[in-house]
Formats: sequence, structure tokens, C-alpha cells
Amino acid sequence: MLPSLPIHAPDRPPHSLIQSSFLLERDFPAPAATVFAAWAEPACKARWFSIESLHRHLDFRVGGHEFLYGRSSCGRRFTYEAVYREIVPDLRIVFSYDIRIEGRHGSSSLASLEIAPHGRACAIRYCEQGIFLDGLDSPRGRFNGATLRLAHLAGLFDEKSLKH
Amino acid sequence: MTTRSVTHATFTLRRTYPVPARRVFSAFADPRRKAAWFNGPEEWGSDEHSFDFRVGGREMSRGGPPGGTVHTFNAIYQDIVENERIIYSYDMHLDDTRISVSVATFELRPVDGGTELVLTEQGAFLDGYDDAGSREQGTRDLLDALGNYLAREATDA
Repeated sequence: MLPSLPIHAPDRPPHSLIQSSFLLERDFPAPAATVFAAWAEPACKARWFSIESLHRHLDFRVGGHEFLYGRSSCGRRFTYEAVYREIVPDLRIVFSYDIRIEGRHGSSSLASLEIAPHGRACAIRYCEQGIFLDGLDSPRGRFNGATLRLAHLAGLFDEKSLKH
Repeated sequence: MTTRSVTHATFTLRRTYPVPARRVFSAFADPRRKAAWFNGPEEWGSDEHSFDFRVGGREMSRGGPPGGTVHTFNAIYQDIVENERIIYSYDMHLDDTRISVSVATFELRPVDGGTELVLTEQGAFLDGYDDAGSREQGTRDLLDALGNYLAREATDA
């Protein structure tokens, strides 16, 4: 008699998911239009967002796609694919995105960026609502990654960078 | 001038349907079956609908009361595991105004006597046009419509 097979092969954990969200707020010493451009213009975005990516494409308009491909710090191949859902110039961007790790779907997320101008400076609110699938990707890792990316973004606006 | 705002909210709804998970899944996956329950109030009449059920595929549904506000639902399928899970993101429009962007997760779990559906919606509600409360009520109505459809179908079989 054959032994009964597990429903999932040993290398495939059972399907599971975790929903999680976070909000990050930052003040930047740059006008709202400059901060918006850092998200909207491909050359500008490449300076701070997922700088380790080997390939990137950004079509910044409602319905447009963004694609990045690279290797994570621990050597795993990843892809990032986003679709822009809502854009209000200088004020707001909403996009959905998926992460695939070694070809497997790790997460789906909804991200929103709000920019509030304060004279020559601005404040942002960046929120992500995510679904982390099958143990491939984690809310903690995502929060840490987003915190790091916003630190890279802030680096564009420090005095040294602005002089260039 | 519109006051710009984004309000984030999450809600979860649970239903148990007295049919196997594959029947519930196919009510989402099969265009003919989905059209039987996923629609607006009867007085709106038939809506405009396009449907491409696969990861990366899109769904669009547009309708409204005669002569009134046009409601548009635009979805992208993010994840599909047959008989177990469906995730789509969607935006809602009233006429030309985008009022929300959300991501909806449907999980199906076999339970005694049927299937439990757990729906979690995570949403960004824009400029105060809609809120999580009315979206939750609308979604309750939709899951009830699905339940009625599944019950009707089981009786007809």
C-alpha cells in the first residue's frame, strides 16, 4: 500500500497569508514638487528606490506599470511589478504592487503617498497595506525595507546633494 | 475645490456557504456564474462587464441607475490559488471621480457542511467620497447575493 502523500510537497509550505499595514511620516527640506518628481521621474527614482536593481522600467501614469528586477541582499532573485492607480501631481500617488521571489508570489500590496506642502519644505505620509503569502515575504521585512528606502529618499534632499 | 484626503481602513467578513469550495471558487472564476450574482441593484438594469480571470487579468464592471451616477469597478487579479484563494486590487469611480483603491482577499476553507469564505478588504478611501463603513455594508450585500445565488443553484440542481 502506498503511503498517503501530503497535500503539499515538502518544499511547498501550505497556503497561508498575513495582512499587515504600516504608516511612515517624514518631513523633507524640499518642495512638494521636488519630492513628487523623485517618485515620478525614472532617472530621479533610480537614485533612491531599490538602487540594487539590475533592471528597471517606469511608466508613471494611471494604469502604467513599473518593473524592477534584481537580487536581494541575501542573494534571492526578486521582481517588483507595480500598477499606478491614482496620481494627483505634487500631492498624491496610489499604486498596487506584487513581489515575486525566485519566481514565487511573495506579496501583494497597496501603497499610498500623500505630500503636504509647507512652503519650501513638505511632509509626507506613506502607507502600505499588504498581504504576505505563504511565508515567502514578511511584514517586518517590508516595514524595514520601506524605512530604508525613505532614508535613501531623504538623502537626496540633504544640503550636500542639493548643491549638485 | 476638493479637499484631498486618504483614509485607510480594513474590514473582514465571514460567511459559510453549504456547498463545496470548488462551487464557491467557480462562482468567482466562471464568467457566466459570476454575472449571476456580482452586479448592482436590480433597478440599475444590466451593466457593462469585461472579465479576464487570471493573474494579471482585469475585470471591469460599469453601471448605475438610469440617468444617474455611473459606478465603475476596475480590478486587477493579483493572486489565484484554485479553490483556495483569490486576491484582486480594485478602484471604484463615481462618474469620473476615483473614490477608492482597495485590495480584497478571499480565502476559502472547507468546514463541516460547506465552505467558509473569509473576505478581508484593505482600502484607501479618497477625498471623503466613500468610507469603510459603507463599503463594508455594500460588500455584505454582495456576499449575501452570492449566498442566495449558491442556494438557488443548489435547489435547481
